[in-house]
Amino acid sequence: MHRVLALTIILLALATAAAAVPPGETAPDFTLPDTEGVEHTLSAYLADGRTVVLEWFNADCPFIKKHHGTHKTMNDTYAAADSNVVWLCVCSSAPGKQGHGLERNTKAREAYGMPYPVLLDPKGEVGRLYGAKATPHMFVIDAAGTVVYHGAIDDDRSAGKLGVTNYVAIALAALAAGEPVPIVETRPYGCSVKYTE
Amino acid sequence: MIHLLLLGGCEKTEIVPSDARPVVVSLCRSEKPPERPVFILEWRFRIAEGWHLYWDGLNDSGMPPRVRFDLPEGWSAGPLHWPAPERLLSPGGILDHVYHDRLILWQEIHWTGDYRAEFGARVEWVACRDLCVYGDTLILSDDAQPPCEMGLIDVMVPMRAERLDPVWDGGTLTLTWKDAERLEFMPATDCGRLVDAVADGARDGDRLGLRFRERAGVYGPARGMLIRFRNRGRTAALIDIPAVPAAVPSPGGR
Repeated sequence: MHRVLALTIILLALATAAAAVPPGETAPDFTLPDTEGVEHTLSAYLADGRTVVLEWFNADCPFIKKHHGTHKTMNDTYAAADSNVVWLCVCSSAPGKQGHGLERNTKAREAYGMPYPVLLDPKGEVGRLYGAKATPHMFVIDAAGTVVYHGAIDDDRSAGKLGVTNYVAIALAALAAGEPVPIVETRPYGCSVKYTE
Repeated sequence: MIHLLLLGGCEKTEIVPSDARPVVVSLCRSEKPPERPVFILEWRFRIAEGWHLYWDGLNDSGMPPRVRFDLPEGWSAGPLHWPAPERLLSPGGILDHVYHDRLILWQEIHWTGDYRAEFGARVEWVACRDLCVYGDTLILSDDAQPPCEMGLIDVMVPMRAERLDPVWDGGTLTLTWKDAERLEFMPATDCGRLVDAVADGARDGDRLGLRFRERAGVYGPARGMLIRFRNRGRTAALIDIPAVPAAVPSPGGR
């Protein structure tokens, strides 16, 4: 049932504009395999009452290197979050494009010491479904399945410097405290998601 | 990685951009001390074929070149001035405004004391094609040599709003630029939020309709660059159309 619903939503999304799922909207369901071959279904995590973070990922993008290599923004944010949080990276790079593929993402996950899975979306269906534009483009989904934040990880849009304000950390802290997320939307920054034509 | 570039009469020490090094940065300033306490610094970016750099306006991805100075005491740098970019629409509805082949930026430097005092600047950029790379170039003032290319620089001038006959209808702003064969609008980072920059940002003809989302009780402002295409050429101008209230109370209404 979930799969039928997810496929329907995907087809609808492909036929319409590629705007990001806005805050307050229901997060579209999806199922994707990770680099270990394990399938991840959003609705299954939500059914367990989990908060889900989606991070669009391209291992070789300079902005991903900033947050996974030079700095450990993503790992640190995940480590500081409530244990109820599930963090899923999604790679929507098409075949032949930067950051694509099982081998590249398996190595990157190891090299970056990522404690969470990298999901493979080579056709870009889930990326387009969410309107993901950049790597990293962040979505925070509460246990009710509502997008409560989407946008940048922080407030420094450069490829080198870390920001002062980590929007995802703020959103996760608010959810953990049972409070409204104070900043629900920012402009993502990073490399363009390398979708198939 | 830091590259020290020796420039000059360009031809002698020319480094050609390539896939391995997609952007080559150099700078130029007049050798002769100006009479005024201001001179123009010109940044030149040569871009390898197939690659692009980013404009300093609203983009879905990328990063515009940044310049961080180490200037002598009492000196200061004005803002960078940007020429008109091109629209680049990538799969997934990703809209960017970019430069191909070459980019020349300029800025004013306010100086005092010794004009020949040494200074340095670190230039950061992200260049992309079907992949993106980050670069970081350190340039010293001694590396700068004429000839500058001021004649090739687009000097953007603000356009008076009245010339575009702006008409608001609810949240939709219609602009008209006489004799245009095509118009393109490139929003600045502080532009009001557009409903759909991909669909609304470019249109054949002399009229362009921009739909804005309501934010903080207003639509707009329409702030950015407007480009008119005509006779295979293009003219760009900076525009700043003030915001309007999103809801006008009806007469006698509460």
